[in-house]
Order: sequence, then structure tokens, then C-alpha cells
Amino acid sequence: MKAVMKSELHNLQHTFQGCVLSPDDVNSTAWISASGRAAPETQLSIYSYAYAARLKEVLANDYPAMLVALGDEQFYQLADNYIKFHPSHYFSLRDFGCDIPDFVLTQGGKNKHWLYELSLFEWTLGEAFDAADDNLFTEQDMSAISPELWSELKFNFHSSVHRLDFEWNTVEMWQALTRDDPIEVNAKHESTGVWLIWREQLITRFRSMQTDEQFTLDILREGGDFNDICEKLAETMKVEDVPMHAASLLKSWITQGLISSIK
Amino acid sequence: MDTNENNKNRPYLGYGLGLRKEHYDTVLAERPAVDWFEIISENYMVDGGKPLDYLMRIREHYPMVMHGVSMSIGSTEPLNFDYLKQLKALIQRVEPAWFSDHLCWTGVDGVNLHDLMPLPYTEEAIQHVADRISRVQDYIGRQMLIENVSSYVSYTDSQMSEWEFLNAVIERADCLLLLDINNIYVSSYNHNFDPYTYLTAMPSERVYQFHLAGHTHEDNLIIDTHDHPIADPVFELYAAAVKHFGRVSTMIERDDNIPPLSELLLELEQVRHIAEDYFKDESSHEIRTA
Repeated sequence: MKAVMKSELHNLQHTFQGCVLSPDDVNSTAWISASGRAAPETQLSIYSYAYAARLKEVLANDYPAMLVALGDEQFYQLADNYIKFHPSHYFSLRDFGCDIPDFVLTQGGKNKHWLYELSLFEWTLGEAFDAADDNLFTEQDMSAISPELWSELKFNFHSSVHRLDFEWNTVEMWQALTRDDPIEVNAKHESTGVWLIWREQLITRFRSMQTDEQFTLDILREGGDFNDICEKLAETMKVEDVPMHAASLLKSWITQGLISSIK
Repeated sequence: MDTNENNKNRPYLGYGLGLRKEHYDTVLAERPAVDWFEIISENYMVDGGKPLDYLMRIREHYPMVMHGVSMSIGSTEPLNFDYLKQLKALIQRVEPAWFSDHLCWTGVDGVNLHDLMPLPYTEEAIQHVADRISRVQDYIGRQMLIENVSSYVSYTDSQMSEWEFLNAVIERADCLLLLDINNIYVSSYNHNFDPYTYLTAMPSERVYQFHLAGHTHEDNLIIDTHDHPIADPVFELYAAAVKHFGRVSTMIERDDNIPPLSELLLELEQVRHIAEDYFKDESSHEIRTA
């Protein structure tokens, strides 16, 4: 294979970037002129310091509850490690912290499981915050559909809708940690709780879901139709109560802005 | 949009501020006397939600320009057309008076340093960056403004002054200039050159916008931090720029330690006074000598 000649400009940028990413491994500063007011090492240090400081600030903004939970020292140690192993590949700083939840799991420590959930919750709130402004399917739209067609109706959910399954008291901790006067709440391992996160108009919301709502929502999000959710509900309740209950769930999703359209 | 008395081809917006989320509600509630706002393009290159909602509601009441930080026009990486596609879509949505980015690179080898890294002042870099600016202008379908950056490093490879480099790039790319007065001052201090020589070397017909901002002294250098009010030497350089270029759309950038909007409005009044007092004196001088 023919070797590609790298330009002098590329070599310079590659060298400079290496010094910013790994300031402790700088071999030579001969490419920096000593004619300026500061020594080459000082000139370089402005960029390496700013690089780490900027990214740490981004992570602190994206994960405010985790910052309070860990305290400055531990949080910024985690941030330093993340920055080292996950340099940004995104044009927007908005996306830089996306791998923090998985990164937390790779770190040692007895707290990593609830920290994973806490960071996942914070990141998902951010995802819902600026998800697409999909159209909303309204009760009026629904009433215009003939009831005999309901059984085969399929639904598209709003882009902001997420389901998270937690085994810890994650949401309780997040609420306590993000108060104006944060309070400590001990992490508690609990039976699985299922949470719904979405954005209603411009307001990001979250709430827990009961079992029947969980599985009906899953069926519809995976492409099932109204008939499928009725069949599933019939496994756990009286058949004659199923249509009313399914319609009630559907109505609540529509009024809360979870459904964008029908298929 | 007015045209400039001193340069008939240069559009003139007046005195503006950077739009920051801390001020969204105040701007909408009070409609302050700001002639225009500059937005950071990347803050609104999202799918939806509050940022875009606020942006478009404020856009209904104010002219806007778009200012980007991630084009990486000087990088040796291929141009990022995913980025440019989103930028173009935002331009179509916002309909800004113009759009701009920095004469810098932000990363190579697939990495983004999220910083404005300076270029070496070489013929190779001029050709490289001018060609990329031309390609961006072709893709977007309009001219762009390129901004001079503050720098803390100078390269042994450089073969010319920063102002010679900047002049060559914008001439060859046939683009426009966003002249950051604070950045000229910061770099002149850090690299020991005369900021007035730089200023007066700029081609007047291509200067469409001025940036003003605060800075911080640190480690024998000045850092372009945008977290303080504008410093006196920068006001002095701005006054010289007004005298040299005439009416140029001017705005204050504040990105950290952001004060209430009322404080920035007072600072903007200072800026306005410097320019308008000069133009008033000029016109009375013209009347006396007519």
C-alpha cells in the first residue's frame, strides 16, 4: 500500500495535540518559538490546562448530582481519568460526557453500581431536554379514529421518551442531591423500579411506572398494536376490564405528550 | 440592516451582545435596547427543546448573527460535512445577517480539543485554510466571516506576522473578517508586537464585525477569558479601530462569570459612546470645514 505523506502542517498539529492530551509526556518544545513573553513550556501549559479545565467544567454541569454525591476531590479524579481515556470525538461539548455511565462501571469501588444509575439518570434527563420537537398526537386526533380501527393501531412515541430500570433509590438520591441545599441520602438497594423520562412541551419530566404500564408501553414501542396490549393485559386482569384499562393508559400517554403519531 | 456611510458595501447592525441562556427570560420580558444578538451556533445545533424555542422567540424581535467554534477550518482533518450540514440547516432557520468562525484548528486524528488552536503563519497554512474556507462558502452558499484568535504559543515554523497571514488568507479565500479587538491586544502582549500595526493592516472593505471582551493576566501572559469587563487598553484600541474603519457592527462577548444583563447593557453603552462621540465630532468637523 502506498504510504500517505503527511504535511508539515499535519505533523505540527499532531505534535501540538499530543502535548495537550498528555502534558506529562512532552519530549520537545523545539517547535515553539522562545521569542514571546513566556517560555515555551509556559506557552504550552496554557493550552493543556485549559483543555482539562474546560472538559471538567462540562462534566460538572452535566452531572451535578454525581458531583455532590462524590465531593469535589473524587468527582474531579473521575473526570480526569475520563478525559484521559475518552478524548472528545464530537464537534459539540454537549456530547462529550455521554460515556460517563459506562465509564463509572469500569472503575473500582463499592459505589459504582448506584453511581452508574445516578449518572445514567442525569444523562438521560439531558437527552430528553433537547430531543426533537416532534408533533404530538392529541385526544382530538384519537377521537377522529373509528373505534373499529383501534385494534390495529400502532404508535410512534415522542423522541424524548426513555425507560430506565433502577435497582437503587436513584431518583430519591438525585432529588436530594440537586436541591438548592443538597442533603445526603444513603444509597439503598431496592427491588427494580421502572422510570419513565420524557419532555412535556418544554418541561423535562420523570415518573415511576406500574407493571402493566411498563409492559404495554414496551409492546407499543417495539411495534406492537393496540390489540397486542389488550391480549397481554388479559393475562393479568378480567377480560371485560381490559379494553377500558388499555384505553385509559393510552389516554394518559396522549395527554402527557408521550405519543407523537400513529402508524 | 443599514449600510455604512464610510463603506457603502458593509452592512451595519449597530451595537450587540452575545446571547446567553442566563439572559433569555430578561430579554423576552424586557426587550432591552440591544441592536442585535450574536449566538454561538453549536448551542443551537440540537434537535429541539428549550434552546431552540428561546432562540426563535428572541429572533422574532432582534437581528442575529451566528458565530461558531467547531468548524476547525485550519485542521488537516477532512472538513466535517455532518457539522456543516447542521450549520447550514441552522442558518436557514435563523436567517442571520452573517455567520462566522475562527481562524484556527480544533483537533486532528479524530479528536476535538474544543479549543481555538492557532495556525503557523506559513504559505502552506494559507493555501490550506483558504481552500477550505472557499469550500465551506461554496457549500453554505454565502461568504463567511473569519475571526482572528488569541494565541499563547508562537511557532518556530512561522514565516510572517499574524496580520500578513490573516490578510493573505481572507484575500485568497475571498471571505470577510470578524476582527476581535481584544484578541489583537491579547496576542500583541503575549508575542510582543504593536497592536496598532496589526489593526491598521486589516482590509477595511472586508471588516464586517468587531468583537470586544475582557481578559485575565496570568503567568506573564494575558488569557482571553471573556470573564471580566473590557479592559482599558482594549477600549483604546477599539477607539482607534472606529477611527480607522468607520461604522462596524460591534458586540461584547461574555462567556464566564456572567453578570446580570443590566451590567452588560451599561458596558455596551460605554462602547456605543466611544464610537458615537467620535462620529459626532467627525460630522461637526465636516460641517465646520464645509
